Amino acid sequence: MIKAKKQRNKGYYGYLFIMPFFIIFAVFELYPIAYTFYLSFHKWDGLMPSTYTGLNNFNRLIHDKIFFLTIKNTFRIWICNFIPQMLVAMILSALFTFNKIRGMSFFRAVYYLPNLITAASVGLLFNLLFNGDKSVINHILIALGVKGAPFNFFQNKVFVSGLVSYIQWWMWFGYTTIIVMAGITTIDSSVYDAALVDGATKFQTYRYITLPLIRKTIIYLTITSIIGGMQLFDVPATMTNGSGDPMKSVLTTSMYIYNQGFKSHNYGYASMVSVGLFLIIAVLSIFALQTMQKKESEND
Amino acid sequence: MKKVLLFVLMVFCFVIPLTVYAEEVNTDLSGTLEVWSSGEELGRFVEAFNKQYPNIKVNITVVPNADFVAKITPTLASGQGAPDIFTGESDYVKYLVNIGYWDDLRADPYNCEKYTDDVWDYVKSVGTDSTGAIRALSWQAAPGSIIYRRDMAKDVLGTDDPAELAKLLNSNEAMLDVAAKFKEKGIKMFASWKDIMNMQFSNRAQPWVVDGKLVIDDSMLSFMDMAKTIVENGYDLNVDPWAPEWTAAVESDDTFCYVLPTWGYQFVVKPAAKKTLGKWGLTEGPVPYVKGGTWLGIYKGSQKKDLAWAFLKFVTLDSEAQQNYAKQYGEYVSLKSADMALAEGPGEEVLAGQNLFAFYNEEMKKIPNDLMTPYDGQINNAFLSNTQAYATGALDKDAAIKQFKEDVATAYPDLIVE
Repeated sequence: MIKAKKQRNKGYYGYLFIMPFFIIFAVFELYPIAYTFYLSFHKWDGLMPSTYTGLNNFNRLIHDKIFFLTIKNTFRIWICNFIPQMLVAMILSALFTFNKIRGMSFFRAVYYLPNLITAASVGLLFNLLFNGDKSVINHILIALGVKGAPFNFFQNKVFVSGLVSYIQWWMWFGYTTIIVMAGITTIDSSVYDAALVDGATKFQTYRYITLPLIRKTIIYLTITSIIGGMQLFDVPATMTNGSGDPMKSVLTTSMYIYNQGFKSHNYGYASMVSVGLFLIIAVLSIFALQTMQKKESEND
Repeated sequence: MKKVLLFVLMVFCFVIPLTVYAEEVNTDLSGTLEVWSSGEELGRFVEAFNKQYPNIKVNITVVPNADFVAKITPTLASGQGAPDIFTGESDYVKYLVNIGYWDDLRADPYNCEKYTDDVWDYVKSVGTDSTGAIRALSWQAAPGSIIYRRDMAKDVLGTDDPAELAKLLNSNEAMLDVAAKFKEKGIKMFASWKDIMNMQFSNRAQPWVVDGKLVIDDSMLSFMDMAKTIVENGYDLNVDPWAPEWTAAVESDDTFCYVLPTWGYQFVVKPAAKKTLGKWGLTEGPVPYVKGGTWLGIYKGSQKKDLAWAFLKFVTLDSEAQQNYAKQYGEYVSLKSADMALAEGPGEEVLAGQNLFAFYNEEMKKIPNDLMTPYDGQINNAFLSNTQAYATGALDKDAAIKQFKEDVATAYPDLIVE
C-alpha cells in the first residue's frame, strides 16, 4: 500500500518536469492555431469586433484562383529545389563517407555556410545581382559580349521561379548533406565489413545497405522540407519587394496570407488561407510518409 | 559702444515678444512620451523640442514603413503597449484616419483649430476623416516636381530655365517627345517610369474608390500606354524606384530626371549629389501633383495626452520649429508661414541657387483635391504590377485591366469591381 503511494508521487514529478514545454506549447502554439481556426470562420479587420460569417471564407477559398496559383507556385519552387538538394546531398555524403577526401570538414563547413545567412538578405542580394540593365550579372554578360544582353531577368517568370528554387537549394543542400552524413555514421560498420567480404562494390553497398538504413533520416528530411518549403516566404518576398512578380510567378501562399492579413486587413480570410495551407501540408506530409513507409515494408 | 547697446536693445525687442508668445506653453511638463514612427526624420525634431520642454523624454521607435500597419493594428486592438503618438504614411494614412484610433484634435484638450489656419489645406484634408474630425497633422507637405539635370537640359534642349522647361513638358505627349530627343544623345529621360505614377495619381478626376466602387480613371488607362512607350523605347533605366541603380542615377551622366515630389529632392538627390552639385533644377510637369508625407496623430487611449499634444504641436504647428528644421534638412514643411518665410531665404546649392520653397509654394497653390483613399497602397501596387505586364508585352491591355480588377477584388472583396 505504502509502496504504491510512493510510486504515484514519483509520477507527479515527471509531469512537473515536462510541464514547461506543454505550457509554452499551449500558449505559443496551440492557442494561436486554435484561434486561427476560430478566425477562419469570421470576418475581422484586426480592430473592430469580429463577426461570424459561417462558410463564407471557405466558399471564397475553394473558388479563389490566386490561392490555387500560390499553392502551385510554392509546390513548384519546393519540388525544383528538393529533388536536386536530395541528389546532391546523397552524392556528397557518399563521397565524404566512403573516401578520404582532403579538407572534407572544410568543404562541409563551406557547403553549410549559406544556411547561416538570413534568408531575407539572401533575397536582397540576388535582387542586386540580377535586377536592372546595369546589374552585376548584366555587366558581366555585356563584358563577355553575350548576344542580347542586358537581359530583363526579372520580367521572366521561369527565370525568377527558377532563381528562387536555386537559392533555396543553395541555402539548404549543406544542411541536408550533414543530416544524411549523420544518418550514415549511425550504421554499424560490421554491416559494411560483411558486404565487403561478400564482394559488394561501392555502389552496391550504397544502394543496398546505406540507402535502406538511412530511410528514416530521409523521411525526416522530406517531411520537414515539405513543411518548411510550403511555408516559403522570406526569399521570394524580399527578392520581389513582396509582390511575387512578374505576374505572381513567385507569389507563395505565405506571401498571399501576409498580403491578405496585414495589407488588406482581411484577417478572417487570411486565417482561412492558413487553414487551407495547413490541410495541404498535412495531406502532402501524410502522402510522403505513406509512400516511403510502404516502400520500406516492401523491402522488408 | 553705442552700436553694441543698440544691438542689445534690438535683440531684446526681438526676444521679448517671443517670450510673451511662448508663455502659453507649459514648459514644466515632464514624463516619457512613446512615439512610433515609420521613418527616422521625426527624431530630428527632438533636440529642438527638448530645448523648450527639457523634462519630456521622447522615445521614438522606428517601425519600417512596409510593416507599420502590420505592427500597429494588433497593438491598437489589444491596447497593450500602444504608443502615445503614431505616424501614418500617405499609402495608408487614410485607413488610420478612418479607423478612429487617433483622437479628434479639434476637441479638448487640443483645440487644434486655433492654429490650423496656417496649415496647407491639403495636409489638413488628408488628416480629416469622413465626419470632419481632424485626426492627424503633418510637418511635411509633398507637392510634386520634375527634378532634372540642368547641364543635360542645356545640351539637348537648349535651355535649363525651369519656366522654359515646364513649357516643353506640358503634356504627356510632350514629355515623350522630349524623351526621344534625349534618347538620340544616349540619355535616359526618366529614372523609372513608375515614378511618373506619382504625378498621374493627381491627374485623375476621381479617387480609386467612390461609394465602395472601384473607379479606373481614363487618365490611368492612357498612362498605361505611356508606360508602354517608355519601356519599349528604353526611355528609362528599366529598374524599380529605390533600386540601387535608380538611386545611383543622381550621379550618372545618362539620366535626365526624377519625377518625384519634395521628398525625392530631400532623400534621393540632395544627399547623393556630389559631382552633380549645382547641376540640378526643379520644374513642373503636365500635372501639378502631390504624393507622400507622414502624418502624426495621438492615440485615443494615451495616458499622456498633454505631453503628446506638446510634441505634436511643436512638430506640426510651430512655424519657428519647422523653419529651423527645414533650413537644416531642405525639407518642404506643412505650415504656410514657414514655407513663405523660407522662400525669401537663400537657394539651394545643389539646385544652382534655386529656392525650393519658392518653387513648391507655387505648386501648392495648384494641386488638386485630396484624392486619397484607405485602399491606395494595395491598389497602386496592383496597378503598377499589371501596367508593367502590359508595358513589357506579357499581357495585352484588356487582359492587364482585367487582371488589375481581379487583383483589387482579391485584396478588397468588399469593394464592387465591375
